[in-house]
Amino acid sequence: MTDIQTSTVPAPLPHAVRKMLPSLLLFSVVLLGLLTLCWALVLPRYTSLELDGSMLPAAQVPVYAYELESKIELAEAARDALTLPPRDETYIALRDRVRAHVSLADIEADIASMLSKTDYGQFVVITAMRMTGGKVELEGDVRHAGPRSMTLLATFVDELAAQPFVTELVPPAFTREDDPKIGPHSPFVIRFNVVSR
Amino acid sequence: MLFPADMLPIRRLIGHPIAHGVGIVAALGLSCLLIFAQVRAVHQLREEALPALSRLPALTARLTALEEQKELMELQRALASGAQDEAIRAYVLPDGPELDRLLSLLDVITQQLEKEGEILHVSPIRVGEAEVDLSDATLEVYPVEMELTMTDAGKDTFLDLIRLSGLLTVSDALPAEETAMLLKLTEQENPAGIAALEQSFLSVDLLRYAREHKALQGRLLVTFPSNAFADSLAAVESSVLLSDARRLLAGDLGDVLQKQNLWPMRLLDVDQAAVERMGEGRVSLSVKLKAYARKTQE
Repeated sequence: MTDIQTSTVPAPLPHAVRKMLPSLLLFSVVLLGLLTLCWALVLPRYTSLELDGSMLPAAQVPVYAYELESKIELAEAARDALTLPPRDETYIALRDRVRAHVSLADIEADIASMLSKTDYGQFVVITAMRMTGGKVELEGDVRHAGPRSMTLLATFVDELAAQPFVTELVPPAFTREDDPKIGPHSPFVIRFNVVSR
Repeated sequence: MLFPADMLPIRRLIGHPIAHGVGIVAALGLSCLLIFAQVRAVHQLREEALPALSRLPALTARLTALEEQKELMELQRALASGAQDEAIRAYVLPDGPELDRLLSLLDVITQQLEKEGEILHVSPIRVGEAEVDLSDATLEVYPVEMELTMTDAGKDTFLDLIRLSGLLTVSDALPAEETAMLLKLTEQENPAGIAALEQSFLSVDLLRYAREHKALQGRLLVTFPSNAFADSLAAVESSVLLSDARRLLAGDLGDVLQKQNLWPMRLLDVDQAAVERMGEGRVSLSVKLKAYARKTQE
């Protein structure tokens, strides 16, 4: 018996691939050519946007908007400088520095407002307040609260420390004393710094 | 001969399967790059270019309004005098101590509050030697100390007046962001009205504003009639310093300051303050003020 080779027997794989290669190459080159034409001719036509009568590539539009925003910033600054009265810079700098300081009256009002929203505020009596630069010293006592005076004082100190205008608060010594006029009370001296506005 | 004999090696190379393979890989690789680039271009169009395009009309309109306002204000500035700068130099931040005006100012304030029953006693006023201002070497600071016995309301009035000292116009009393907000509103409502905002509000002398604020407000609302502007103006006018100015300067004190040529007030700041409650609605206020002056040339 002999093996008979006919044309129906498939060629070995490497030979088949070798035969396909020219077609595949032709396809790849044609694909590349079409995509290149698309990139060069079709895409710019559909990704350009009309602006003031001229066509701008899409990539340029955000750049144009950014440049417009920069011009707006400059124009706004120039307008503002012309609108407000001209002043010498020494005065402006000093005025702004002084205006940023917090007033003793403001601190008093803020503390009074804070106490008015609590249920123990009526027991806190502030007898003196001193302010030097940004440092405040608050003197007073918690009275008419019976044995709760120290606890209420601690609550007051905690809430005061949590206020946005207070920083670096030094808690007082907690004590209860007896006074012949006001009865048991907890005196305090609380020191803290204020945040500039 | 179609192909010269010396081209045979090249022909063999071109016809070689490896060359075909390289060509396919190269062509497909470049095709992938082109596909990626085109997808990216479409994505950029959708995500960046179109949103930017939609913003352009508003940006262009805003720039046009700002340019118009800038031109108007340039013209206005060319016509304006330097009167405010002169007042600052002469009264607010003078050259040298100018102790007579300083003491007159404190005297007028305390006398007026005494007349109203807010101050019960004033100690002698002590003015110390000039000290250098640590933040600005061109300035010097004169410490001024005094003790007052007063009512609680009197203490607040005194400290509020010190806070108003040195402010010349409405814009001096406004935070920068509120001024910026008003200016932005003019762009949207009536760009040409910016001159009216400046003349009828921002540049108005604070004492005049305290006395005539209703008339000035009316004039402004004719130029900017929208509810949005009216609401914003009301919010701005409710700021602390403008409210204090209306409360404290509109009455007798403002009249006295003007008659005695003590307006605008010398720029003062509170360096130290101590309040002690004395009972029966009275407080003792010990205050150390800083009176600023420009260093005189020696």
